[in-house]
Amino acid sequence: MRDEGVGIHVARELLKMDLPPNVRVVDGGTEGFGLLDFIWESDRLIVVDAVRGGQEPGTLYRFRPEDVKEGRQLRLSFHDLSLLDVLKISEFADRRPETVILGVEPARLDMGMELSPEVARKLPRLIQMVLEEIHREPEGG
Amino acid sequence: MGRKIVVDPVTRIEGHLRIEVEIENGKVKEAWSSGTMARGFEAMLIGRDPRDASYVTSRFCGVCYSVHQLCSARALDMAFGAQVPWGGNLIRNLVMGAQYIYDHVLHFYQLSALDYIDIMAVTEYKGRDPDLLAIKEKIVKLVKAGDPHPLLPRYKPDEFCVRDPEVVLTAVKHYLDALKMHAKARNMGAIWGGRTPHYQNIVVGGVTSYPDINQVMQFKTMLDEQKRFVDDVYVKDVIYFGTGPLWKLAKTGLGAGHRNYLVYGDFPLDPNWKELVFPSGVVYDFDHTEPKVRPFDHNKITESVKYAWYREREPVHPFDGEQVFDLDKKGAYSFVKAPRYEGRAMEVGPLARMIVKKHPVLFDFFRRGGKVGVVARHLARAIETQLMVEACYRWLDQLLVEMTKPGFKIHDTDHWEPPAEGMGYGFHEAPRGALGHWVKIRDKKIANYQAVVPSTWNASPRDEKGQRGQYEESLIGVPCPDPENPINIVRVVRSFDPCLACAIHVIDPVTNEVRKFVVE
Repeated sequence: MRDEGVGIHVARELLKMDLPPNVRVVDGGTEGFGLLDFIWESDRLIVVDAVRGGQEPGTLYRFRPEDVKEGRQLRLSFHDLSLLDVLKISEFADRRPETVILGVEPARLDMGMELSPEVARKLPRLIQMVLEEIHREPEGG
Repeated sequence: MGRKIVVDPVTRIEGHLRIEVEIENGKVKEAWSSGTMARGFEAMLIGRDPRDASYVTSRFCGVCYSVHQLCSARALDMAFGAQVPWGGNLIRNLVMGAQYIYDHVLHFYQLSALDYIDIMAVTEYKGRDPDLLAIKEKIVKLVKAGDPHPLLPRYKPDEFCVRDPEVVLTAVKHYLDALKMHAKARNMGAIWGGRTPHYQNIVVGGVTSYPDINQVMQFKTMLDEQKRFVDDVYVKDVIYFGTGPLWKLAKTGLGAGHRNYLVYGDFPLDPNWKELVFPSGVVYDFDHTEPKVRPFDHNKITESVKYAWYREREPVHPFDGEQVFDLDKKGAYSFVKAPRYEGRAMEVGPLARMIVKKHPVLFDFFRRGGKVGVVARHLARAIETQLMVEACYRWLDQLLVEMTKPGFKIHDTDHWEPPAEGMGYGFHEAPRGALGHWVKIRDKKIANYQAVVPSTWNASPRDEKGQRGQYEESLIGVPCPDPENPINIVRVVRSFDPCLACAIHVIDPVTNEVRKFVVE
């Protein structure tokens, strides 16, 4: 809730824009596995989410799933898997698109629909980062 | 005093279920199940237009949204006096049919199977099957790279783990096949649901969009593919494992619990709801040689808050339930209330459904010495997936007939406006078990709203009489020789397919290297 929903705010803005026809904006909700079909039919994936990296609230991050080798075992919860787990599993199934994760350090995660001022301030820059990714040439070819 | 251990996924992922057990002499002596997150949704609904409830409650959870949408619509159907036409019910059934296939396959292969195999056994594979060799190579490569992340379970293999290299490799192959199947199953619901996640088409009175012949054919083609997988892979695997390598475990009855089962009943096979895929019923102290099924009466449901962080009061029926938190309450340890049926703690879900239905495959398993417990739960889940696939074919045929009738209807449009006053309840057998929503309407607005979700039944804390919830009871006596490796505890809890409302999802890279990803 609140800053956790930063992705939805970005997605809403993107949907208002005139994006290239091969770009699809998806509000993934809180799903992990439910997004498998979207992930598998994409060549490139840009994930926008709150990222808890321990920096100042509002800090922007850009990284790839392969940068996050925890060196620990599958974080299988009792219930579902996180998006990172789903990406790892997609890689194992040879179906992982080139992926980049853009994130912002959250300030508030309590119940509510509005972003905190720290995160709201960074929203335009975050959207700009997504657009840069969209227009960037694919890596490795 | 035994040693206490805590299995708490909150620290690892977006979990919200915490299991605490006390171990004595290598066995669980006492257990506590805590929901660590408050669901404030119901309070948010008060004062809103009742028709919003189907959309808002579908956001209870990011995984099983459609179950709440349906259940809520059914509660409103009753409160509004709406009569859902058979065509509308058929489409509601088909949406949920796809959800069952998706949920159960995912649960077995991706969430549970790894608790039962020793993945490293694949290195011993000496066969020549090219598919299996390719998988072996992949696993070995991952392990060598120090990143076996997708496959290794958190817990060390034990005596019950399957070690035959070919069996393990085949299981991993099916794990990969299952991924492909449920990516497709998710799209089946969207044929009727409009979008995924969070379908939009189920509303009070029926559904919103008329089906066309192409949708019916598209669904059928996808169903054919799912059926092949369910019959030839999923059900076969579960029976093979349950009655083969895991037979020893099946006979122990690990994780049985109270042996009380509750099914609200769901999925009509005819317009008058005479025949249901899952008949309703109540079973106390189950004995497979004399299974006595009693009729279900929702007036016998009450919820106790004695050990939950809610304002103290006597147990009440969900119509009169409230969400007033008391975080300082002495003795409380969960945000989950304790629902009881005639004062008893019940299990809901696939095992309950297949017991109440007296399904021959499950009862044959009991006659041969299998007991209720973790293995029986997986078996019941697989069998009922098959029942749902079969039912989907029947519903598609019925829908085709309905569609050709003059005046074909999917919605009761005469009852779209909220009544000034009204009360209603809706029941649904969700993949995880019996789900109920209760609504009271005053001045055309929601005056009270309560949901009792399947995991509330299964994961409940103790009640005012000190009676344990079903997870807690199922854990008593479970062997745990190595407190550092509580694999049996995890098996028991996972066999219920636990789900507490989705909590905060934040990507958590947990690494010292995070600084280098900082952009600004």
